[in-house]
Amino acid sequence: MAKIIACYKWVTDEADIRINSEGSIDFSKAKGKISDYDKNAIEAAMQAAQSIGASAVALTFGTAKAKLSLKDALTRGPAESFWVCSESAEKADGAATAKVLAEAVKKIGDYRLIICAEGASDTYARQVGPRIAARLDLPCITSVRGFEIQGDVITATRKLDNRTEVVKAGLPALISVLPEVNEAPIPGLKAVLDAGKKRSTEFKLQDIGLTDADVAPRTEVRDFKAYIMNRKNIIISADTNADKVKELVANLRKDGVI
Amino acid sequence: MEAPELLSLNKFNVNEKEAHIVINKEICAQCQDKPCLIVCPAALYKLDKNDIIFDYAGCLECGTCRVVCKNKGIIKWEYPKGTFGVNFRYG
Amino acid sequence: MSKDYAYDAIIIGAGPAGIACAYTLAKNGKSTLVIERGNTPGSKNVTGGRLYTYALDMVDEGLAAEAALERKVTHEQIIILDGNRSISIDYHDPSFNSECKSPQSYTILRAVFDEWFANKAVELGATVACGIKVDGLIEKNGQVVGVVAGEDNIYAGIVIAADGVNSLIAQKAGLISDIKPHAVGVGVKEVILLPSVTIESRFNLKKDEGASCLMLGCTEGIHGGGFLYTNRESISLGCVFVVDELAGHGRQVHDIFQELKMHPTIYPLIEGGETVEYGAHLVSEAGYREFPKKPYKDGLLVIGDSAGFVISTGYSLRGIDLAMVSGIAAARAIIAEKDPVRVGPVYMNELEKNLLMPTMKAVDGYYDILEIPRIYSSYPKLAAGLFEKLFTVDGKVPRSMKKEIRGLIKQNGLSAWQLIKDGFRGVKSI
Repeated sequence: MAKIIACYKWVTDEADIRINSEGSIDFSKAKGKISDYDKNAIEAAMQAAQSIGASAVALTFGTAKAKLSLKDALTRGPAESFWVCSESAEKADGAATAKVLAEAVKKIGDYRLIICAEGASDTYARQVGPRIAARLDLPCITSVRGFEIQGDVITATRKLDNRTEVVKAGLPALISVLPEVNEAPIPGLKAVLDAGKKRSTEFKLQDIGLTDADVAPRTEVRDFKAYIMNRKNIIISADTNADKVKELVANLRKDGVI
Repeated sequence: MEAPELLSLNKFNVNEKEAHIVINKEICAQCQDKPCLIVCPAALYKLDKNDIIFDYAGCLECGTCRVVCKNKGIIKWEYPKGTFGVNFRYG
Repeated sequence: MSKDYAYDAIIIGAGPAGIACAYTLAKNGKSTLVIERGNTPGSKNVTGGRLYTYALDMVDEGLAAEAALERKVTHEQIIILDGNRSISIDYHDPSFNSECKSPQSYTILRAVFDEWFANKAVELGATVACGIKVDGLIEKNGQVVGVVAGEDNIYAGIVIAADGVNSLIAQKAGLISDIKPHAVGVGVKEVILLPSVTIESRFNLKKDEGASCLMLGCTEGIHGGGFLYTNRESISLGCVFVVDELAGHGRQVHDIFQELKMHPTIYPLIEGGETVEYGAHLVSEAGYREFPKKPYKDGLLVIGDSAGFVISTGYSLRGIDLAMVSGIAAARAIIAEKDPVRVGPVYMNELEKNLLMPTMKAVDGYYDILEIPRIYSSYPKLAAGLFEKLFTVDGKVPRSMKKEIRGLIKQNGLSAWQLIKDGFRGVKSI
């Protein structure tokens, strides 16, 4: 059966990141999770697969920690999952990640559509989708808020700054979707139980014809620091609500916000 | 530390679509004792004139309000749907 | 692609009771599904914090040695507070650490412990499904045959309610009545981070040793008390209040607790620490006298907090160990008796055999003492006053102790007769 491949990333849960008083960031107690937007990508793959009678599968590139993601991904519906396991994922940039995922997609084969989220919830670099498309020489539609497939053609609505754009492309193709493309459901009990019976395939880099050198990042994260926002510390203390609103509006106008 | 500050330390996944606790303000207005104002560890029940206002978003899911609500102003008390609500990191 | 699932047993709740049951069932080859509403086992659970480890070894020999625990309790402390004053009792027994083969208790954090424990059951073949709330039971001809979770129905030979003190499942099944406000306490707790060396020096502990501390006189006269447990790199500090007395009180539970943190005896213990979590939970305060007549019905067993297996004597609190023991009893009953209609009485029999019911009965008298309202305010005042007199040296001729005591009794609105009565009640009750 033809496949629709949803790519996802296992990220640090930002709710668990602690910012120390001097601005340093502590990831040590943080758990992992599937990047929030990728849940929409997986759901988009499920819906697309159903509409054209294909099989949705999930694909990730991650370190050993990402093993925890496989069952979670599968509870969201895909028939099977693929995981390229390498410690190089820790430092991989968009280019390296796209290289790995593109080779994994080739290995999986027989795909009609690849779906990524527009960006990951940790870096939101928006690199991976378009770069995979470039590597596989596929048409690429980004910022997708809705799409449908008819025959060999995908028609997608893109959300741009202050307008939408409808774009058509022939399959196979790659789209990167915005969270508003769908509502990712919370997996139910049977979905969780089903996930335990599905197949997960682990690839090493060499299984997809790559070496560590191939995925060396060309950009390197040197430092994480908390960003300290300077607050204006204005307290609006008028007596009545009407006056408070007036004062708030006046302040916002002054700052050119409205 | 005030309750909101303490609650801000916790990890919550609030179900924006569905409240797991619902009160009926009219029944609550009739209630003389309003023990919910005292017993909620998260201090989520507040009084605005004679009206009880309640926000389910910082709920610690202890159930004390349900136990103490004699006049049944709490017309719905359920645990949040799976994955929602508080996530204790230490417990 | 969903298939129809059927299990030998479905357990609702992945706490210590549910997992002890699942572990035992899985080890004996029963297909077992545990359904947990939290994202991970333990993520909805709060405890004061300690576990008596005999229960873990009862689940499986050697389990305690590898468990995800915090510190071995070698210091048992009781602090009586009155205003800014305090009386501390510290029973230190280093042999709790060194000589005993299995130290009797450890401090624990539930999010860590429960997840570890659940994984042990999974290793033995149990399935643990997290992030799923069970909405109700499926009954057929008066017999429970499965559970409903959202749109999914899953069937099992037997269902075990281990969904905690506020067991909506056992209530829906009609096995326990709605919780009465005098039968439960609300516990609030902060987890406060401190470096392990600081904890060890403040509590006079060796590495990995811990202190457990119960406090009396910090609840503004409300039936209840405070607790403090030292974890590896944090302190669990909290307070429990019996709900009906609290409800009639003027001050918010959170305010009374914040004041305890600032008490001159308590604050130095947590000074410089960083609060990282604020939790709350109900605690059963009723013991055997409120124990459900029948914690089972056809196809359903109720275990752990859901059934009310908690013991509070005033100087010790037990719940997690009893939960595990009840879970083991349920599992043994299910293994021994194939007919789900007959398994209930076998479960009751197991509870007798593994000494859980006899233990609950034996300590039931303590609840008479704990119901004496004077324990929570007048007596701490009396004790602190007595010590004040004892330690006051001002160069004057000391009054006779008898007179001082009489004065203090009067001052605190007590009478000698009341003291004798309470004393007699105390002796009789234990």
